[in-house]
This record gives sequence, structure tokens and C-alpha cells, in this order.
Amino acid sequence: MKNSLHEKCNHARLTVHESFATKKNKTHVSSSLKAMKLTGILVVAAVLQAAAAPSANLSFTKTTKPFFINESPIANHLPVPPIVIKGTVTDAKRAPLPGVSIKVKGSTVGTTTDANGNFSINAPDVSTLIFSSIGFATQEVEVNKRTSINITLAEDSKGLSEVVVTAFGVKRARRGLVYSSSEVSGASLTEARENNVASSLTGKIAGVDASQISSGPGGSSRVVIRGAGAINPNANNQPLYVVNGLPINSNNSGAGTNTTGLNVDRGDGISSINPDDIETITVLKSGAAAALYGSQAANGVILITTKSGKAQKGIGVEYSSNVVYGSPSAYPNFQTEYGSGTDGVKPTTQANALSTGRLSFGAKIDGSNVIQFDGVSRPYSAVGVKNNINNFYNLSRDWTNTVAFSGGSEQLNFRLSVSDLSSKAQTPNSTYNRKTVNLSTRANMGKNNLINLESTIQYNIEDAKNRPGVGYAERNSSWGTYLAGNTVDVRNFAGPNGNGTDASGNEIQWNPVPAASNPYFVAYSTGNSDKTQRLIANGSVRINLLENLFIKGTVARDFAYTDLQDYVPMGTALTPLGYLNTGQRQNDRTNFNAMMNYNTTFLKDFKVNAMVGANRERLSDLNTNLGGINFQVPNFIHISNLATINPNTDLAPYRNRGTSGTNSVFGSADFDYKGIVYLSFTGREDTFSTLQAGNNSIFYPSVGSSVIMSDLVKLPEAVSFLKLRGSWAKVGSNTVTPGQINQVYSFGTSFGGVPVQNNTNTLIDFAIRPLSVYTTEGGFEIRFLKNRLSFDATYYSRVTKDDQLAPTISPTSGFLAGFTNVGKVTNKGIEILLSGSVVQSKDFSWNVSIPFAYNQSKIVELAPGLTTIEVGQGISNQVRILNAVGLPYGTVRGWGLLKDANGNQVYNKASGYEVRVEKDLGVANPPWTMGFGNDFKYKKFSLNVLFDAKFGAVAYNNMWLYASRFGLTKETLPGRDTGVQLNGVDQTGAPFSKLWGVADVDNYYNNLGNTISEISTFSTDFVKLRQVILNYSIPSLKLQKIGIQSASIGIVGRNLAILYRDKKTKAAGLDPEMQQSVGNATGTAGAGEPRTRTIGLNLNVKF
Amino acid sequence: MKTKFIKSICLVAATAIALLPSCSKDKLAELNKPQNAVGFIIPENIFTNVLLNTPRNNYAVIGGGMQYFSTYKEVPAVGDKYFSFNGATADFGDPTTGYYTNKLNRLYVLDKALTATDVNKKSIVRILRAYTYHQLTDVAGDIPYFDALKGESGLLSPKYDTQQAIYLDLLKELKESAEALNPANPTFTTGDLFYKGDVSKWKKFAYTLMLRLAMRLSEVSPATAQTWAQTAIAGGVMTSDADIAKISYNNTTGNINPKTQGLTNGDYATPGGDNVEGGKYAATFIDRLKSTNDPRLSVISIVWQLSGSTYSANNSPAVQRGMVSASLNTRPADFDTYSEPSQLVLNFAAPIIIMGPAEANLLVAEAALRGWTSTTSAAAAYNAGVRSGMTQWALWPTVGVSSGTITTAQIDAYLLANPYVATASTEAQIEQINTQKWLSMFGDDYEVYANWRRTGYPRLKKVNYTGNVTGGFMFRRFAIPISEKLVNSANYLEALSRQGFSENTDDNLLTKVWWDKKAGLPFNFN
Repeated sequence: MKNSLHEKCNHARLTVHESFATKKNKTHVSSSLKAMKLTGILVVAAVLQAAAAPSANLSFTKTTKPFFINESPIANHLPVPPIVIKGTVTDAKRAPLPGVSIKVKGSTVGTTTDANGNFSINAPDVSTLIFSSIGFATQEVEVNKRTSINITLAEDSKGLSEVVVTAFGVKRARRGLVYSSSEVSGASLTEARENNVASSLTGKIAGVDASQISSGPGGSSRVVIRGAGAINPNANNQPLYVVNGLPINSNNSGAGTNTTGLNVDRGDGISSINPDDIETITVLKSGAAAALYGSQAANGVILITTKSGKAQKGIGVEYSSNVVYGSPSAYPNFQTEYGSGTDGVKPTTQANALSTGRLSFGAKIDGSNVIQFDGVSRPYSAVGVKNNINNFYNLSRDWTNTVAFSGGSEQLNFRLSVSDLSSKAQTPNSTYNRKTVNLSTRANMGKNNLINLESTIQYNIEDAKNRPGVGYAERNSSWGTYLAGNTVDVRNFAGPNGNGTDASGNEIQWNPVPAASNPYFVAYSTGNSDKTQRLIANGSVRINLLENLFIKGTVARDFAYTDLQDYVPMGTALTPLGYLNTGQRQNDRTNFNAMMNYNTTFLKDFKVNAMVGANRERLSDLNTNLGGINFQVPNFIHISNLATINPNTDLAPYRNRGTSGTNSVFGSADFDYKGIVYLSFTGREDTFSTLQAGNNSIFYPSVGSSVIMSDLVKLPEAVSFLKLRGSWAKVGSNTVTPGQINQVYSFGTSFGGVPVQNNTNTLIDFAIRPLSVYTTEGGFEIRFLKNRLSFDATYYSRVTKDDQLAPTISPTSGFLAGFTNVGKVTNKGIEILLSGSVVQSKDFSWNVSIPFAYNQSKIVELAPGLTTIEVGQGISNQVRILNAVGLPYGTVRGWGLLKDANGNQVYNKASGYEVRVEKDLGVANPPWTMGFGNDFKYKKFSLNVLFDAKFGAVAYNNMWLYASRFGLTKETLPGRDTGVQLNGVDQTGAPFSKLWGVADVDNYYNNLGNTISEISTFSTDFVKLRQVILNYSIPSLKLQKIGIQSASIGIVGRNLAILYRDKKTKAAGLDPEMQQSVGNATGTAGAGEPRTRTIGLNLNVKF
Repeated sequence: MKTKFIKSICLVAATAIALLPSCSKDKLAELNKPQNAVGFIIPENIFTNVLLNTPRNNYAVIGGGMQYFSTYKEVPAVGDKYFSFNGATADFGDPTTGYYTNKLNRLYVLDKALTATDVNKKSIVRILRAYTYHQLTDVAGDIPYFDALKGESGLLSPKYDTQQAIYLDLLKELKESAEALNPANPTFTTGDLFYKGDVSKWKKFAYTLMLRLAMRLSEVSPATAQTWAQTAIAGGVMTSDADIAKISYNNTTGNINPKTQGLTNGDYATPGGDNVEGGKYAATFIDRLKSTNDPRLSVISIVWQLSGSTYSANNSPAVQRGMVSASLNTRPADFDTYSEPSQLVLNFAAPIIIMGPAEANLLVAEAALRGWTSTTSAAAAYNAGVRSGMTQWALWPTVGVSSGTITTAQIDAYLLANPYVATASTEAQIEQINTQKWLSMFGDDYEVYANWRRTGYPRLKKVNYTGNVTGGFMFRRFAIPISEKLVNSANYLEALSRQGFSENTDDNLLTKVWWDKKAGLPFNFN
């Protein structure tokens, strides 16, 4: 206490001394102090207080004495003498609240409560103290000559005075927002953590469809807000991620955007962010909210505010540790009656066993000894895919340790966190490590906090080894594990060396198709690695020119460098001499931002906040690649060991650089009448480098209003709050990439010394313009029973117009389509958030939160004459993901059985197979999404239970297609002993019947599974118990003896149970969340690591 | 004073904000400047690209279907077992290989960059365009032709023209361009990989192609065929090996034979039985070569024999054996004992012949047999064709045990043992000529496939593999890409109905193209 007073006095001395120094004339001191206004008064108050104190510093007294004694006019400005006020701040449950900010109204004098909620402050005996703390309603208390004030802060779950972060880090009262805004606290992301923060959003926010593909730790997330709008198959439909006010790179950095080919999901921009560093995540769904963020905000914005230091007493050290284990959430239900083999017989020779290695069309399982792919005889008994999965995969483990140090004063504070995430994937020999250092510094300088400096620097090292494959068979250990013949134990694929190789180091083949790799060989003998270093730095200077006027300049840079390697060694069945690919990626995104903000009050009741600014963004991507085929010396993985550096393959060496930039000016004006009626305008103009001058700018405005009806008219007593809001916004966007509309001719490798020139075959539209997204939304928020129950509803309409798209055109025109402005997509929907406090008592509380959203998307028009465009394909083209006029975004179109008018199956007379017909099998994106969150608190225990549901979408599962073809599914059982009898009609309508004999049943089912993709298409509806978190706060009294302020431990679980799934999906034993694309061609799944159910422990200690 | 200070700061800030984007406006455009390409065309260098894109092959469908190759596997057995229709779709629009988007578009771009005075260059472009179109219509039937390639003028959905109309125009195009070629005028030089600017050879190329197209009409319109065959022969077709239009590759970066590279990487991975797709030479092909003591057998075929732990190539005709087409569905125990392509055939530096005198002579032989030319006899032209078909192997570098040099003595012996039988029936002579074409044009998949459909030769072994999709018959055409149904719907559907297709794609591939009219043969023999 004394120290505090001493500091205060010293501060006062300096202030006063300065004024002397400046004026050099005692007689002017009075006017000088007048100019200092409020602070001056308080300086004097503080000085007087200090002078009266017995411990007052002598030098201080010397300096100030003449000033007080001689200048009597000053006394006119002196308030009544300050007093020392002590007290305790507690929450509703009488628990002390540390870190509560206490300020004397109208001054800069302030303090915070200590760990026990105690405070002490000097204030005039007639003044007002303001108590504020995040998560609590701010309270003002009249001192009224009291020296002891104990108060209780009410939790601000109602958000009445809640402050939310909006564009450029500007904080505004939630009350005045003209759109709905949703926040998720950092704590809820760290307790039940996903390595990729974005994946945690599922089930938490109405209108946000978040999902993660099962591609191992460090994989990508897919977040779509209010439905996908961009028809362009390659356009990003995911939101813009903004960290501390400025955008970061949030594109998906590798494969995983489709389910074909060599797929490794190397994560996305958001996967670098450590959940422990996040203070809050704010999701801006509305166009009006996002309008200021520019073109990349057309799909919404996810604002991430990282933790920063706070003025506090004592040391601030926080340690948290979180370990999570994962095991498969579902196992396919395969048949166990017939074993490996073909034509209804068991393999008789090794060659025979090998060539039927992936077929389960053998004899009835009888336990007899039968030769297998490796020449060893083993019992002809069902191993079961569940055992194979459990035997091949490990428990996944994600272990995060974070230490954060924070401290400082109001003038200068910091937070430094160091974090390590160490993950082991389910796939053996696959690891992911992420190290993060995050330093956040804030400084306030000068009088009246004239200058505020803020800086955040995050440095990451992400190191991934052998990320698991997703998709097709090649280099995907999941494929063989799921699809091996059902009397074959996958562990036997490991071979004598345990790495899938035989004595001579060659891949042990278990089936006749070299592309269908040996899972152990993929896991241990082939390799991929990537190491990313990423720096996200942000620094800003804000100068408070006046109390109501500031200018702010910010520079932010997101720089990432990734080194990639991928190889297949000599001895691989498919590519016996192997290959190697290496690459470097360098991505750089730099933003310069300057803004000026002014607010004032006019005509007494009107407030206005006006802001203008400019932004300059520069992006640079540099990709280099060096690869080749055919190693010369075994077990030496290096470019120098390659026989052929080949330019004619996808391993071709290249160096591509793309640069682009956007210049912007923007402004906003927010009006507020008595805190009852709010009106908000924004405008922004972007100019893009990738478009041609004349067509490269777009201006887009927004307008919105909200009215607090409950303050305007008298409502029934039960209604404690009612707010209406509405907004309209246009957001411009541009997806044309660098050089895309340049007419250029490149040169390839010369042929025998003769230059070879290339031409592009795209039809370039030089006049292409930015696209526009129009959002209209209206909604209300109503609260009942003293804010205990709240209902928030929004209707929105989002129209994407003039998309930049290369519509498929007939290649017979000589060209492939180039980008042009076409199309119109609507997304209309409702979002509801029902939340309330079901039970609220001293020891026990139960709060619920139920987000619900329905989104109806529709392709209204494409290009003239074009009714359908393909967004993507399932593997083997069995399904196509289409955007078709009149249908929702992402229709899954595949093949079903052709029936005649009487419902008879139509057969092809020549082949004896079913005739198929192309049909729409469903939509790829779920229109219905909802959650049900419960927070229980009992004394020191808290329990969070979250249910999550999505309905209305389907996915084509390529793994299932193969399982059908190979005789693994139960649907292939009929006719194994008797043959398959077909009865129907042929193409001419004449009766048709055919018996596929026992030996041909395999051919029949192979064709059926291969041609009728409807068989492998599943509803992805689900209700899941998404997470359960049980936390226990260790009583602080005991802890404080050992120097710990607070500590908690918790048990967490994610994806704990599938409570509902479609009958067919359930019968197949599939996790309904099976999609494996984070791109726009959702609705397809290949083979991948099993989806997991995770259980873990949380420990959090504050010193 | 202080107010003034604040005002001036505001003014500075406002100006800075206003200027921040505008001062960098010029730089913004700068960012989009192309960094790895130029903005202009060098016709000579585009032309080289056109030639490099001319060769086409189709191992799985045609190589298997024409019974050069066989496989025990199912997935790659499209032509071997008619197991699926995979790969039997005409390549309209693949971004890097499509006929329209890559080959014809490049010719269009090249033509646009030429001036009216570049008569030779423009004529060569027309000849190559005819070559490209005939190959496409031969597999796909009716295709867009007269209205095609007009995307830049806004015609995005061209109508489909009949194969008849296309053929007649192609013949006219060849005539006009052959006649316009003039050695006195400038032409392509170093960029001309075929002839290094020798216009007289381009003339022979044009007339040989004209003869090929003319003979294609032998069944559907003999009179037209005769007229154009006579025009072609009178114009002068290829006669010597120096006339061969070919691309010579070498085993250096970017100059590798793409076809042998594809076979090596995809099918015949390493020496010694490591043919990953289970492929071998087919018995139909090897038996024919073996039974006639054809000297080409030891050039193109080897058996990898294991001694100790190393495989060595044996090209002795006695050990060569082919795998019976569609006879297997699992790897046979004696898989290693079957013949496969020699290292000479798989050489990255092997040439690709686009057209040559072997074919020209055999076409002339058939024209003579039909009485359409009297410049030579069928027997003389046949013998010349056989000779060219053998001597052309000298263009292949020697690799391992296989040398491409076939001596005159060897050829004489072959002709002595297998003479042209001028006394046989016309049908038998047609069989002899066209079976020889199959042997001589090994590797020219599309032309062999078209010639088989026109004439019925070579006699293919009938296979009716369980689960095949055609009832045991080799496809008679390739499908039109179904994407056309989406983007050029009306014209596509019209073309289908005109050619007797149903919309159900599964049975389309047994319908015949316009010139495929030969009656009386099942085309698959036991």
C-alpha cells in the first residue's frame, strides 16, 4: 500500500515538476495546472495526500511545497481531500475476484484487485468508483465518504455492457451492434482441444459449419459460414482469419482438397495457432460486420484476439498441460462368412492367394489351414476389419504444454508464452510437432495515454513426419488396412523387417495391384515430411490526439517458409526404382493500415463515431520444386542419387513466383441516439492488382440499424430486453490469381536444341471484374425473466453475384474456359440461439446454449447456356459434385439402378449387368446444423456437455465402393452358394433373366459395386455427444500456501458417442462425419485414418 | 496553439491515409507482370511444340484390343478383356493432351500468328490439322469440325458435322495445301522436326495421308475412294525411308520418347519380369511373327530369363511366346516365360514414326488390287511395303541383345517363304496386305485400329471373358465425352441420335462410324 502511494506521489511530482520546467515561471503555474484539467486536480490531491503521510519522500516535499503554499488560487481547484478506500470484490458466489479494474471516474487513477479480491485506492471522498472485469457487468459505486466498499459483480452472461471486438480491433458495446456476433472464449477451446482451433467451433455457433477431415494431427479444418457462395471449384469458401486486427494466410496449404491421387493434408493457415494463446474468437457472419475487412471477408470473418499482458501485482505465470488420446470412433461392418479367394474357392497356391489378396469371394470360412499371400498357411478364419484396424493403428496422442508469463503495469505490460504440441498420429511412425512462442507487448506513453503501442509476435515451428494419406490406395496405409481380404491379418504385411519389406528390401505385396500399397511399407518405408517456420507479427502505434480523436498505424506480416520432402524408395511395387520430390514454399502477406477515429456528441443525445482509413496489402508466394525418378543406390534419399530429373512428370523442377496486392480506402460512421437507436454505415473501395485497370476496383457499402425496444417502449415485465436489428451489405471479392488473365506464352525444355514454345488454351476474359456478395439480415434478441432466458434469431439472405468462374465450355470451341463473371447463388437461412440459465443457485448452476441454423442454398444461374458445372469428382469418377441451376450448392450426382415403368430392373442383354442411370444422390453440405451446450457448475466443479448435430447431406464413400467390389460388404453375400439369379427386363423391355454362377458371383458384385455409386453413398446425418469436460478448481486457500494462485484439473472427451446416424450408415459401421475434403467438393470420402474418439486430461496452474 | 498542432497532425494523417493507396497505384499493375513467360509468339517454336504433340498411342485399349499385348489383370484389360470402357473415350478436352484444346488449338494459334504470305507454313498447318482431325473422327465418328475452334469469336457450342462431310473436306484441304507447297518460298526450318524444312517431303506427307483417307472410304464409297486414291498416287506418295515422318528422341532431359517412357514407368518397370500391370505380348502377335520366321521378332521381342539372381534378355525366336488374350485373370506360374517388348522398343531414345513408306506402299498395293491404279502391281507394292516395314527398324538404336538392323538377305528370305499370293481371292489378298500393315505399323495404334475396322484384318482371336461388357466384341469406336452432354447438349444429343446411339452410354461402343461398313465378317475369329 505504501509503495503504491509512493509511486503515485512520485508520478505527481514529476508531472508538476514538468510544468515548472516548461513554464519557468511560478506565476503561470496556476494557468498551467488549469490546462492540465482533471489530472492536475488529482495530482494535487495525490500530492496533498502524500504530504500528509508520515512516510512521504523528502525530495518530493521540497519540490512541491512552494507550489502548494504560495499559489493560493490553486486551492480553488482542489476537491475535497482524498481518502483511502479499501474493500473486497467478489462474484455472485462470494468468491473473491482477482484482477478487477477499479478506476476513479473521470480520472486516470486506478488499481486492480489482488489475488484475494482486495483493493485499496485513493479517491476523493465524494467521487465514483468504476469496477470492471471481463465477463462481468461493469458497476459504478458512489464513494460517499466511505473508506470501505465491498461489492459483488454480477456475471455479464447477458452481454448488456459486454464489449466485442469489431473491425480493426475496435471494441464496441455489443448492445449497439447492428448484426449478430458470436464469441467463443479461449478457455473453451483449450479445455477440449482440437489441434486445429477452427475445428472446435462445431456445434457452438449458429450458422457455422465446422468440420475436420481425418488426416492426422496437423490437418486442415473446413469452416463454412452461412453456406458456400463461390461456385468456382477452386475458390475459397472459408472465412478470413484475422489475428489481432489484420488478416493472416488462411488458405489450405496442400492436398486434402480432394480425395484423389497422392494426398497428404499439410494443414491450413489456422492450424498454426495455439489455442492457449487465444483470448477470444469472434465470428462475424454478417456482410455488414465483414464489410470493412475487404474482399477476403466475403465468406465471413473469424477474428482471433490473442492474450495480452495485464497490469497486475506479483508474478503472472501460468502453466497448462493437456494430453489427449484418440481411438477409432467406428468400425465398418463387413461380412465374416466367406474368406479370401475368388470364384467361391480358397486360394491353393501362394500366387493364387496373392492375386486374390483383396478379394473375399472365397469359400465359406471353416478354420482350416490355407496358404496366404506370403506362402504361409494360416487358419481360414475371419480376422475382422476391427482387429486389423486396432492392430495396425496406435492410440493417437496429442500432448500440449504451455507456459505463459505475464506482467507489467498500466504503462507497460507483456505476455510471453511458450508452447509445445507433440502429436503421434494413429498411423504408426507419423508425428507432428508444433512449437509456438508468442510475445505480446503493450505500452502506454505520455500524458493521457497519448501514445499506445501494441505488438504481437508469434513464431512457430511445425514439424510433420509421415503425414497419413487420404483418399486412394496409392501410398495410403488405410486402404490396405480396411480392405485386406477378411481372413488376412494385416500384421502379416509387416514382414520380417517390420516395415513391409521382404529379405531383399522390396515391398511385400499382399494383392496383385501394386498401387494398393502395403500399409506397413507406406508407414515405415516411404516418407514425407514438412517443416514450416512461420512468423506472424503485428505492431501498431495509436496516438490519442484528443480524448475523442486518435490515429493508428499498423503493420502486420505473416511470413511462412515450408520445406517439403516426399519420397518412395527403391523396391516399391508400383515404382520399383522410386522417386523423390522436394519443394520449398514461401508465403508472405504484409498489411499496412492507417486509420483515424473521431467520436463526439452533438445535440446532447446523439453520439457519433467516425473512422476513415486506408490499407495496403501485398502478397507474395514463391514455390520451388525439385524432384525426379529412379534412385541409383538403395537407401540413399537425395536428389543426387536420382537417375532422372524429369521435366515431363509432376516431379518437374520449377520455380514459380506470384505477387499480388490490394489497395483500399475505407470508412465508417456509427450513430447512437441515447443508447437506444443505433445506425451504422461502412464503405470500402478495393483495387486489385490481378485485374486489368478499369475493371479492378469495387466499392462496397453497408448500412445497419438496431433499436433497443425495451428502452423505447414499455414491455411486459417478463421481458427484460428486446433489441431489433437489421442490416444490408455488399462485399466485393476477387479470386483471380496473379497472372491468371495475362495472355502469355511460356517456353518448355528445348528439343534437341530447338526452343519449344507453349500457348495457353484458356479463353481469357480481360474485362473480368470483382464479384459481389450481397447480404441482408434482420433479427431480434429478446431476454426474459431478468435476463435469465435469451432468444436471438436472425434471418439472412446472402446473394453471390457475378462470381469469377471458369465455366466448363465445350473443348470443341478450341478452348478451355477462362475466368469470367457468371452466376448467381443464394444462401438463405435462419439462425437461432437460445440460451438461458436453467438453475442459478449459490452452489449449483446450469446454463444452456442451443444454436440452431438452417441454410438453404440454391444455384440461381450459371453462364448463359450452362446449367451445370462440376466442382469435383469422387475417386474413379463414380460421383460428380455439381453445381446445377435450381439445385443446392454441391449436389452429389452418381449412378443408380435403372428401373422400368413397372419397377423392374433393366439389364444389359449383352453383359447381363444392371443398366444404370445417372441421378442426384443428395447434397454435399448439411443444411441443418445445431448444437446443445450445457454448462453445469457445482461448487468447485464445472461440467460442460456439448451435443452437436448436422442433417441433410450425403457423402460418397470410395472405401465402401472397394469393399463392395471386393466382397467385404454383407450386401455381397446373397448367391455365394447358389449363384445370383437376376430377373427383370432388358433394354427393349423384353423379360430378362440370368443366373450368375457361383464362380461368377465375384464378377457380378465387382461390377455392381463399381458401377452403381448409390450403393456407396451414405447419409451423413448425425447427432453426436461432441464433448464432455469435467473440471475441478482446486480450492485456492490450500494452494496459496505453496505459492499457487489457482489451479484446476479436468477430464475432457471429444466425439464421445454417435447418438444418431442414418440406418444405412449405422449398418455399414461408418462414422457419419466421413467427408475428406476441405475444398468445395465436399461429399466424397476415400480411405483415411479412422475418425477418433478422444479422451484426455487438462491441468492448469496459475502462480 | 495546441489546437492548431492537433489540427495540423490531423491534416497530415488525413493526407497520409488518402495517399497511401494512390501513391502505389502504378506499382499495383507492376505486381501482375508475367515472370515466367513472354507475351508474343515465335511461330517456329510453337510449330515444334505442335509436332511434339502429334504422336498418340493407346496401349491399354488399342494395344490390347489389336492383340499386340495381353495382360492377366483386369483393371488394365480394357482392350484385352473388354472388361470396362475405361480409356475408350475420345480425348476432346484434356488440358494437356486434348485434340481440340491442345493439338487443334495450338494449330489455330500458330495459324493466327502467320501472315498470308507464309503460304508454305500455312499449308503445313493445314496438313497437320487434317492429320489431327482424321484421327479424332476415326475413333469418335461425327464431331464438331466446320464450327469448331471458334471460341474466340464467341461460338462456344459448335454443331457436330458428319464424318462424311469431314472426310470430304479433309481430302480437299490436303489437295489444296499440297498444291500450294512451293520450295521457292520460305518455310519452317530448324523447328521442323520431321523434315527440317524440306517442302517436297511435306508434299509426299500430304499425298500419303490423302491416300490413307481415300482408302478409308473403300467400303462406304468406293467411287470416292478411287478418285482420291488416284489423285494421291498421282501427286506422289512416300517411297523411301528418307520420306518417313518421325520424331527422333534421345535420352536426355525433355527429349525422351513419351511413349516408351509411359510403357516403362507404367507397365514394364524394370528389366526382369517387373511389368507391374501384368502385361506381355499377345499370342496373336507373337505366333504370327514366329510362324512366318519374321526377322522383326528378335528385334522387338525378348524373354527375360533368370540365371542366378539376375535376369537377362533372350531374343532368340525359339523362346518367344505370347500370352493368349483374355485367357487369364490371375498371374500364371509361367508368367516370366512370356515375351515382352525388347529394350530396343522401350528405349527412351527410340523414334516415333508418324507416317512412312511401309504404309504408303501397302495402301498402293490395295489400290492396285482394286484396280484403282496401274502405276504398279499389288505384288510389287506389297513387297516394297514389307521391305520398308523391316528396314525402318534401323532407325532404332541398338540396345542390349536387340538390334534394329534387318539385312536385305533376311527380307528376301522372308518374302521367299511368305510370298504375296496374287492368285488368291481378292479378299485373301486384302487380308494379306492388311495383316502385313498390322505387323509393319506396330506402335501406330490409332491407324491400325481404324484399318482393322475398315478391313477386318488382322484376324483377332475371339475372347469372351466372363464379365466383359461387350458380349465378347472389340469396341468399334470410342465414346464422345459425356461432358459434352453438359456443355454442348443439343448438338451432342443430335449427333448421338444421328449415329444410332442411345443416351445410355454402356452399349455405344459397338456402334460403327460412317466409313465402317464392311459386311460379312464377324471381326473376331476363333
